[in-house]
Amino acid sequence: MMELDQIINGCLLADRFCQKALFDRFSGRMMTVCLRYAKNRMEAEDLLQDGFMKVFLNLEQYKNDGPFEQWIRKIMINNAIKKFHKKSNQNEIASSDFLPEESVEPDVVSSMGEGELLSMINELPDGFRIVFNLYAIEGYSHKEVSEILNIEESTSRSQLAKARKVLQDKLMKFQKSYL
Amino acid sequence: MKNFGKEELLDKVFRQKLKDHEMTGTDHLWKGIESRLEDKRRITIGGGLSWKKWFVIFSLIFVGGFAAYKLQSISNTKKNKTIENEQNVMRKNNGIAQDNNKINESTQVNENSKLSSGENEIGKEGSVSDISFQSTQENTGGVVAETKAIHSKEGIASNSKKDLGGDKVYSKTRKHRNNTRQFIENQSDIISSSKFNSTIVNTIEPNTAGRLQNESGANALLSVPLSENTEDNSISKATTLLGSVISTTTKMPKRIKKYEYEDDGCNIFKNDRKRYYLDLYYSPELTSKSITAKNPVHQKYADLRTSDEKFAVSYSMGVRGSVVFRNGLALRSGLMYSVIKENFDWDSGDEEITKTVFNQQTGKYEITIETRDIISRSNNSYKFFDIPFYVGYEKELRDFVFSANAGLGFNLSSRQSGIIYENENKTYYKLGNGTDAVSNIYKQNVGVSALFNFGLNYRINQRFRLLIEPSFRYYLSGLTTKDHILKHNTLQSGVILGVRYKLF
Repeated sequence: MMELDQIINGCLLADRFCQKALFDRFSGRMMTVCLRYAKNRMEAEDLLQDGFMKVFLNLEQYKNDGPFEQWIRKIMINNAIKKFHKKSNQNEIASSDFLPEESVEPDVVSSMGEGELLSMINELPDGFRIVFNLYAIEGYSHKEVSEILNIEESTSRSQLAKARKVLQDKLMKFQKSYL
Repeated sequence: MKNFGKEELLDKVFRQKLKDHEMTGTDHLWKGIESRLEDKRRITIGGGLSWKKWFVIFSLIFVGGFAAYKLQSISNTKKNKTIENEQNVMRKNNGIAQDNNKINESTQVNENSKLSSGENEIGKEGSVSDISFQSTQENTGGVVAETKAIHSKEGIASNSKKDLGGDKVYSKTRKHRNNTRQFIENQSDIISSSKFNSTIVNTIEPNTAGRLQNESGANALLSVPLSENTEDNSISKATTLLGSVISTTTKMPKRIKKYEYEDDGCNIFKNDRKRYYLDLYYSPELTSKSITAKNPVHQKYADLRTSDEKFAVSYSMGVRGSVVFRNGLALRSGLMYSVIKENFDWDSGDEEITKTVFNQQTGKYEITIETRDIISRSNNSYKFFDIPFYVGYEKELRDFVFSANAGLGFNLSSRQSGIIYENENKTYYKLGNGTDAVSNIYKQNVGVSALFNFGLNYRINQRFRLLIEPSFRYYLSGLTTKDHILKHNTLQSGVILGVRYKLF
């Protein structure tokens, strides 16, 4: 198996074999990233292809100053956010506005597959989904999220709260059907 | 019992499950990426070099090519001259042999004269070509001798009166001065050739009067005294002659270099007057745009415009007249029309796409509705109409004319059309001719521009030249009004391709 450095060097020389190797190595994880930010699989596939094109065309900008996966993940996220900016559907309103009083059994959630969790995220309105992904999964602070999305910090907080509400609602429904 | 009433726990579960999760079934996506990479490779010439780098490479090649051409032409000129001179020597020797025979036939020798002629010998030896061979008539009175100098095939003849009792020598030059100069040039080359040097020592007799005329028509650079000669002093006199000839020829090129010549295929004549030209040209250009915010608060708006308005094509075309003085100084002016085109993709609305998919698991049709932006493309354009004024310099080379020009362009009119962002919130301005919105943003007269171009013009014939000149243009005060929050500047770099016609 080729070392990552060899693959990167090959990609810098536009070696198709190395480009394929890089894609094979990271496409699975990056597809998950794209699916989290996209509304559906088709959109996620577009994001993945665009993202990898950017990776190959801008690879010389990678300065080896951090994990490569982090760099490539950042490109995917930026690409998704740029698409999101284009859509500018930030004003969508959550379908559910109440916080359920009942709690969700952890066993229920643990038994849920990644695909089901992903589809729950997919169903979130665009603005909620992006904020939830950036804050809850990527670990950005509200300040960073507000800078990335060019929104107020308070907006980021409220969108996250609404996203959580929607997700909890969905989990409750799932729990009921599970039990 | 844990529950997910606490928000952080919800986040944690999602993070743990999804952050490093790896999906399968992405192999089919590689084909799409591969084909896009192939397309990119075809479009991107030379592995992704930007146009700026290409421009630098092109300029370096151009300058390098010019230097190589210059060196090559100097070397070729020297070689050609040597070859031509050798051929001339051969040709002229044959001619001299014939001419000298004629001279001998027509020469009348007075009883009292002390003429000795060595022409036949020289002609026979075939080495000294165009030195003035003299047939002299000397009066018995002994004061004035009429001398005819005949310059073989060049057709130059001069009548000289020589005062035998004194040192004065008179001469009339009948032929064209330029021809004389050309003759002298050839002459000097012949003399400087080694063949001549070796043969002249062998062949010149002391009683031969040699005369070489310089370009101003002055006589008698060389004069070997008419003889009561002895064999002893003949060699030394011939050597004196040779020394004089060589010293003359070594000085000659310095004087000749001061003049520019034109060769029309038959004659060589001096450029001693102004020349007038008319140019028609077209220049494909690349535009380097800079949009900056006058106040940092608006930098985001500036960045947005810079990134989303993409250069498409630009060009300029025009007509200009030139006057070129004999020292190479050139003045040019005319009319120039130029266009910068950009593409701007803007969101002109949404469209809903309804998809019906049969789900085999549930046995039902699922209907999904997707909302998609309608992206429209606006072809923005900036048009300029200018009067350029250039001061330049031209240097004539063998087949080319090197030309460098710098000057100022004075804008007559500027027009803009298309769609741009109105602000950083991505609302739009529609640029239309003469609307208030446009005149608030863009000037309708952009003022003065700095112009520069240089290059080699290929001489097709006496009338026409082919222009190939890299050119640069920069509008000094920018395109936007002073009240607008952004400053928009452009630098146009192109290559002028055109035809220059010599009027008179």
